[in-house]
Amino acid sequence: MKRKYHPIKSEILKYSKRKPGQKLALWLFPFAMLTIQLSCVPEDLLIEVAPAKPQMVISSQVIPGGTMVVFVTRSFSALEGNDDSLSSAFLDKIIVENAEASITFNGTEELLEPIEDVAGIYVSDSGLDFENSEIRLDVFDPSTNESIHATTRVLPRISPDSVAFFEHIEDKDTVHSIYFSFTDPQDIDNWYALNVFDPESFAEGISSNPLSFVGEDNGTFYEELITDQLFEKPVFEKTIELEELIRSDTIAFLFTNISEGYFRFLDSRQRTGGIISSATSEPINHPTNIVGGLGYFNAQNPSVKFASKTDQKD
Amino acid sequence: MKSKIPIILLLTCLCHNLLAQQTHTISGYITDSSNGEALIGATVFDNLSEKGTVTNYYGFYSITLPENPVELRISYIGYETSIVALQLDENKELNHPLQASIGSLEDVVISAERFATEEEVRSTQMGTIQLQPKEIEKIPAIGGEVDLIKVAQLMPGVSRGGEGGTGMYVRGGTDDQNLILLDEATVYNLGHLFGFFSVFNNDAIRDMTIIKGGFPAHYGGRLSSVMDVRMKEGDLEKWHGSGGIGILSSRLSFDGPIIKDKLSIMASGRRTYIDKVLDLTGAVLPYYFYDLNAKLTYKISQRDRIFLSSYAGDDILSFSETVENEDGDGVANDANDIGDELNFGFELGNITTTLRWNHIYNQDKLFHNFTLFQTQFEYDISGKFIDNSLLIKSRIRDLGMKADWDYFPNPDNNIKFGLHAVAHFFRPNVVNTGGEISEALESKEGELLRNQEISIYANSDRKFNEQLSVNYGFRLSSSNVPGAFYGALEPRLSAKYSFGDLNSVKFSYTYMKQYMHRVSSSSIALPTDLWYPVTQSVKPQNSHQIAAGYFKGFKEKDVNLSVEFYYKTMDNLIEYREGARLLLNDNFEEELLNGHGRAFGGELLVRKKLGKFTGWLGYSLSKANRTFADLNDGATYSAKYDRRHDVSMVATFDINPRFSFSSVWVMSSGSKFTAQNGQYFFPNTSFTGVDLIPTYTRRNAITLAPSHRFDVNFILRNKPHKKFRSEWHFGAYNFYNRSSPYQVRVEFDGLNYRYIQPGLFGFIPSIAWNFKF
Repeated sequence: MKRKYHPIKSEILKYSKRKPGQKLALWLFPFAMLTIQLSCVPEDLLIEVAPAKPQMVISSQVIPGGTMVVFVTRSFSALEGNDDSLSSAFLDKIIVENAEASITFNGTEELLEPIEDVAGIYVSDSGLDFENSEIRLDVFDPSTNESIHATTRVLPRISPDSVAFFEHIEDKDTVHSIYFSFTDPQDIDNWYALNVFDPESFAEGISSNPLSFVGEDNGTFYEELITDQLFEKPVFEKTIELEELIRSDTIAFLFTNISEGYFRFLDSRQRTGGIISSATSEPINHPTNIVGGLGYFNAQNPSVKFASKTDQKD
Repeated sequence: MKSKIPIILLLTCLCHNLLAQQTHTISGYITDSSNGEALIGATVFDNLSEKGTVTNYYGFYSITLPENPVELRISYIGYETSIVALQLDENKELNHPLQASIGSLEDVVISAERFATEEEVRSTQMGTIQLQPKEIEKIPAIGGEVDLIKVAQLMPGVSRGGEGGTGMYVRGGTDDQNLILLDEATVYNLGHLFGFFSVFNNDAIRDMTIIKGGFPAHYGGRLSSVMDVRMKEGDLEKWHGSGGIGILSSRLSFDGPIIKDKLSIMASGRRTYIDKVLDLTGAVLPYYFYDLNAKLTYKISQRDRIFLSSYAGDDILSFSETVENEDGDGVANDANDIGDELNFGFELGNITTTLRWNHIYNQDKLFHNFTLFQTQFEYDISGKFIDNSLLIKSRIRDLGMKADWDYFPNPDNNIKFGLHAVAHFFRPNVVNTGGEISEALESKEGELLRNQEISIYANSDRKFNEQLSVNYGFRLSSSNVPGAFYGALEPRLSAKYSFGDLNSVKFSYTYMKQYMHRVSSSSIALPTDLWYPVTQSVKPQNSHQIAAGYFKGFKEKDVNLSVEFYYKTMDNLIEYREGARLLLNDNFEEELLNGHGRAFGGELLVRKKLGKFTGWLGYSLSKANRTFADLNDGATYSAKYDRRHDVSMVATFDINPRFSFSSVWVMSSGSKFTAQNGQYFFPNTSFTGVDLIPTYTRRNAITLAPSHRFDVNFILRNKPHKKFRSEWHFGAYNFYNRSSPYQVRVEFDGLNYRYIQPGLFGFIPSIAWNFKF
């Protein structure tokens, strides 16, 4: 005879077949749900944090050939937003236009000229030889009557001995790598910055509003800081396996003998860059050599080499 | 000259015995009559000669008195006082059980117990707090989880870290400067669930003593506090059980004789089951933690006992998911489209094991405890996705021994001396990778770092007359690491001068040395903070602390009052340098900075332990700062948990034997924070892009808003005479839902950006059912 289905009996039967832990969980379930329902998240409290005083921010670069490029902006409050939300009108506002910028070296002062249509960038005449001299930067912003200055010593330019850009297949995957070597002068401590990038991005970077690149993939494939305290041989060589595939046929390899101060500045930026590092690293105000401002005045003369893609030879 | 000081001190202690007259010794153990547990700090006092002593950490006492009749008064807080009269004509053994004062509401019992509370005023010890599970189980707790550490944080001088966490910052010190001992073994990780619950299961704990200053010489190795936790022992006479069911976890404990009056066992377990409960709703929370405590007690003879105890606890997160195939329909389109398995796990746990042998020598004046222990703290983070696997481990392991002697030459002198040796093995950041990820993150074994610490100590707690008692001694500590040897003579002194009716002033000075550090982030709490030994370049921490206080007992009100002031300096503290990388970085020494700390303050404690209404009012006024040459431009800054004011009010009211009500109100000044206050753009080195770089305030320049909260707990018990005792706890944490800020961040409110101070826990109700038989 077919048994009649009884829902309560069936539930009791199901319950009796459960493991003791499951039975306990079943009993606790309503209490747990009730606790979750009744629990509250406290309302956030507000707090006033005095904003940092806006200051002029200096970044600079010597273009191979001896042209000094100085970019002048202004720092701003943390409450203005982040790189996703800042409006282009605001970006225009923090660029320092009409500044009076000059560099002094070997007893000669030269006014830096603003680039037409590119606000905030000031350049020297090309062909200057800064090497081994002390160079001072002065910037005056007439709109705020604020002035800053910075001094640095220009180190001898060191070029890489060789740079090669390879493409090969490994486990059915295309892999790009770069080999480079350079000779380290043995008599003094040296610090180096190298940067591998798409040459087309660089051209774009100086021909449009520099701040339009905020937060974007900017064509830099690889960056590294090297200190000669970590190797002994005069010749340093290395092969870098790049994490991303490079569509360009040519890469630019920018290599600069930099000062220790600039190395510290770049190193602290590198340590705290990226989502994970910025969330987990200790808060830091990056070192600066700008008196009365932020950023870093770098006057080191880089050498650039271009390398075209070739198949790797075994 | 320096090296002769310990020898002179030791000889001074020992010679005193030679001057003793014709005397006899009474010795034995004072225990709880209900379960045979040893009672620590119970008073044994001869009413006729007015000489007395207290039991040691094993409940043992020894008192040597002239050959006369004696009338011993044996008392302990929460127990009925016993009077034992006997003729002392030879050495006698007197093991005496005390009965818990069930009728503690009766006046007669209260007056008898008063003597024990007076000991706090009369002893040389200062900066000391004793807590018992019985006392704290009534106090409200998050989720109804009774927590020793959270209660300790309610005491003046013990500042809590982030909200709900088990971090303790004692008298301006850091969290790694607390020596946490569980049955003599060091416990390195105090918290479960990222520190929100402590690893101590209240059912397995007999008592806890916290010392904030005036450290006796037998403690060493940390600068700021000692938390000595003792596990329960199994009853040698009869079986008991207890347990509880709460919203978050369940507990079960039992203890009893395996061989009556010879061998007993205590075992206790706790496990959370929110994973199982949520599983019923289909939600996945693959996380739980558990604790297991066990202890064997073997009474070989009246003079010898052996204890084997162990603790194991783990936090386990194990997440596994199949990532959908390309079109997300769960159906494979081809052999390569079957979905990928993603596994992520996290395991973090302590294991401690202790083997102890207590021996009483023939003269009954010398008690010996010999301990062998091992402790291990380890965390593993593992992940697997497609062919990539990652395992990150970090471990610290100790193997050690302690030989301690208690010598009771006469009632006015108690001498302790001993030898401690421990070998530490550290292996931070072991990384194992497989698949493509191994190209970016290389496998490495991590360097095995060793540190051997050896210490000898001696101290005498001596009563010069009715007014003056002095506890003086030294600890000669050393640490041997590859390439370096560190040693120090650590003098310890505390003195008490009594005057008037239950009034005393106390003074203490201690020098402490610490041969290991814990490196942790100043801005975020990571469960993966690393312990690190001293090395050639990382020097031992040390501190000088002086403290002075006034202690008063109010006999009629059963209230004790203490006011203490302290001044502490700390050297060779470590911090990460600014911008230090915290993850997967085993080159710590390059990232660490040495600095100096200073703390001072005052503490007020008014505590009532007896009667229907019990509790305490604690208040701390303190300041703690740090100076590091390479931080904050070398300028002195406030310590992160430098809370100027800290108030706690704890009240328990036993309305009748079946119903109790308790509440906690805490208020403390906000902790310090380094907040972002600006930003600027800076191009990368090739000028092909621009990054947004934050700027910050001076270090710890922002003081978060004061936090305060009110917690309540109602307890409803069944009838007291029943053998099976049960009670319901109905509680609420943060009753008025006030935020206790832990950080400052920028948030967009829909119109503007603003600074907010978020808090973690709001109003949380709880319900729990506990039982005992």
